[in-house]
Parts: sequence; C-alpha cells; structure tokens
Amino acid sequence: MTRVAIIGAGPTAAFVAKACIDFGAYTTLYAHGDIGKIPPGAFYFHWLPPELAKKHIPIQILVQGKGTAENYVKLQWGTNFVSTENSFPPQPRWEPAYNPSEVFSDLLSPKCVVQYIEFPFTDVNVEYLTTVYDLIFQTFPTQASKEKQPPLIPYYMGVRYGTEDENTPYISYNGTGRDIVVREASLFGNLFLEFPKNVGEEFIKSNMDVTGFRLVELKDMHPDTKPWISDNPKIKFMGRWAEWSTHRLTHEAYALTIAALQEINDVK
Amino acid sequence: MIIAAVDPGQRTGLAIFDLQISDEDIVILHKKILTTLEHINNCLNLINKTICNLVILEQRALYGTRLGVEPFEQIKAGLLLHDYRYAASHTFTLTSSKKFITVPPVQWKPYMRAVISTGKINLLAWGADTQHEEDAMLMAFYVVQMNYKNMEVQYD
Repeated sequence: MTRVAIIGAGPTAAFVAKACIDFGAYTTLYAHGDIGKIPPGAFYFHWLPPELAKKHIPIQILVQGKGTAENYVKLQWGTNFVSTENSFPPQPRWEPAYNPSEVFSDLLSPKCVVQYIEFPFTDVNVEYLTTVYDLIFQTFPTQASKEKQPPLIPYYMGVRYGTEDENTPYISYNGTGRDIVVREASLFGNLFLEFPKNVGEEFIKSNMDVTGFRLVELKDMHPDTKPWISDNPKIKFMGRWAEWSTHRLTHEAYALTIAALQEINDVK
Repeated sequence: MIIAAVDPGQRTGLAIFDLQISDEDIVILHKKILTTLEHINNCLNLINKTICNLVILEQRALYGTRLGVEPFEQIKAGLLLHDYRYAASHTFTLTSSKKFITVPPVQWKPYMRAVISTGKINLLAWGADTQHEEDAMLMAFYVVQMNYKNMEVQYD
C-alpha cells in the first residue's frame, strides 16, 4: 500500500486527503494549528467529488463586473501593474459554489490519520519525511521559496459575519474608476470588502465608513511571481501557496493528487 | 464495455468507446466513434446500433441560460424510449446493463481543467475536430476516472 503524508491542514490538504483515501493510500495528515481554517474573502469550492456533490447542494453566486477590467486592475494593484492578468468578468454569470465550512469535515475522511505537531515543519523536516513515506504532499510554501520569490503584497479585507441574506450571494468587481472597494462579496451570509494592495488601515478609514467591519490584513502574491516546482520527486507541492500559482483553484488538488499517486504506482 | 458520452446542443458531440483494462492495470478508452451531429435521432441511432451499455449525458443547466436544454431533454427521452434506465449514481460495473447517467458541466469541467494542466493526457489521441467532440471525450474521461480512481486512464 502506498504510504503518503500530507503536511498542512487547510482546504487544499482536505482535497489531497480525500484523493489519497479514494485512491486507497495509507494517509497521514500532519497539522500544526487549526484544522480546516477557511480564509476570509470570496473563497468557495468550485467542485466536489461526485459522492459529496450529491450530498451538498451548491449555491449559485451572481458574479458581475461594473465598469472595465482595466479600471479594476488599476484600483487593485495601482498603475504599475495594468497588464496584470485578472478575473474581471466581462459578462455577468452564475457560478455554483460549495461552502468550505460545511464540506470540510466530509473531505477529511476518518480513514485519514491526523497527527498534530507542536512546531511548524521546516524544509529539513519535510525532506526527512521522504525517508518514511512514498510521497509527501506539502500545502504551504517552503522556506526556500519564501526567500527567493518576490515579497508578498499586503492588503486589507473588511469582514462582517452573519449579516447578509444567504439567498442572494454575489461577487461584484469594481471597474468603475470610483470608490476604494476592489471587490465586494456576499457569501454564505457574510460580507467581504477587498481593498487595494498596499493601502493602509488609515487610508481606508479616512475614505470610507467601515463601522461594523473588522479589518483583516492579508497578503497576496506579487504579479511577477513564477510557479515553484519541487526538485524532489517525492515531494509534491499542492495549492496556490505551495505552488506559488495564483491561478490554482483549491479543488484541483484532488485531480493532481490522483495523478501523482498514479505516477508513483507506475514507478513501483 | 461500450460507453457513449454525449454533449447535447444545437450541434451534439458524441464519443463512443470501448473501455478495457490492460494487464498493467491501465484503463484504456478505445475510440469507436467521435463525431458531431446536428440531428438528435442520428445520435440516438448510433448509440443503439453500437449497443452501448452506458450513456454519459451532459446535464444542461437548470438555472441561468437554458441553451441546450431542449436537445438534452430530447436525448434523455430518446434513451428512455430505447430502454435505457436512468441511474442517479455515477458508479458502474463492467457488466452493468443498459443505463444512462447525467453529469453537469460543473462536475467534469473543473476536474478536467486540473487533469489537462498536468499534461498527462493525450487530447490528440482521438482527433477531436470540434469543441463538442472534445467535451464529450473529456466528460468520458472524467466519469471513468471517478469509477477507477486508483488506476490510470488513457485514450487510445
């Protein structure tokens, strides 16, 4: 039986764990800190494995852009990155979405052994695990990558939990050239306001009434960031943070894990 | 086991293939027919003539745009008339009797996007000429992979 370790305990790790168990691998998940912590913002799952998709009904989110993509990028990143790829929707669309908080526990099968560790894993710790397991799935960035990649860019998110109508979810992109909210998302009863990169709390408060919102500082990848690839065939990076890939969607970890496990089976 | 995958629309993509498992435990999808059709009856006739055990039909959206709903319902009705039993479960066995399943695009598309990004599947193997044909072959791959999660699936 293939023995695998998953390092990390967020949404990506849950999809990796589900794929490993479905594949029939002996799976151990190493967690440091909270399991299933969901980041604030317009975060949802686009896909679930068929047996879970039957159990969980997705909501339909109205995704729409107001104004132009160029104005949206200017507001989000400033004028230095006008050519940055973006997700501004040219046409309004409905997008199915699963609530990560509701789905997480179903993704993490009881067959998956969970080990809590006191200290965060270092690159050396991960390397060591390759002597014990056939394959390691790492869901957070390596120390080496953090040193070499462009620094992360801070931004603020205004968060208000439990105040919105759950039946009318939407994500609205601001390309109007006015206001300071880049994206507004009403999801699962919560409201999220995303502010421009490199803009401080004081600036936000002086330009907008954010009473009732909690301002949370988050970080995003620099637009010039290149994907980070493992040089050890026994270590696979999974998820946008470990892979340093802004385009990577969380659920894709499932298909990529299945592919990685098939590959190792072929070698065996 | 002969399987058909259908992407219904004004032009319908149809992929009919033979699923076989190799000695190396690889699931091989041998192409028999890959085509785009304008008439639903031709699609149903081909499915019947090739004696498909399983038909995978792309479910059309019940919300937003209703584009393609009519061809979807016509094929569904046609399959029921030809004694195909609708099965809610996507699981199948190699000996299963005539049945059809529906797969919404929100199921197969996000998954296959990730599979394509690995560069490990040969999309050119079946020589799809249209987007409908490619969608049918990708949907087929998805359903087969979900049934054989611990085995590699290959187009032949």
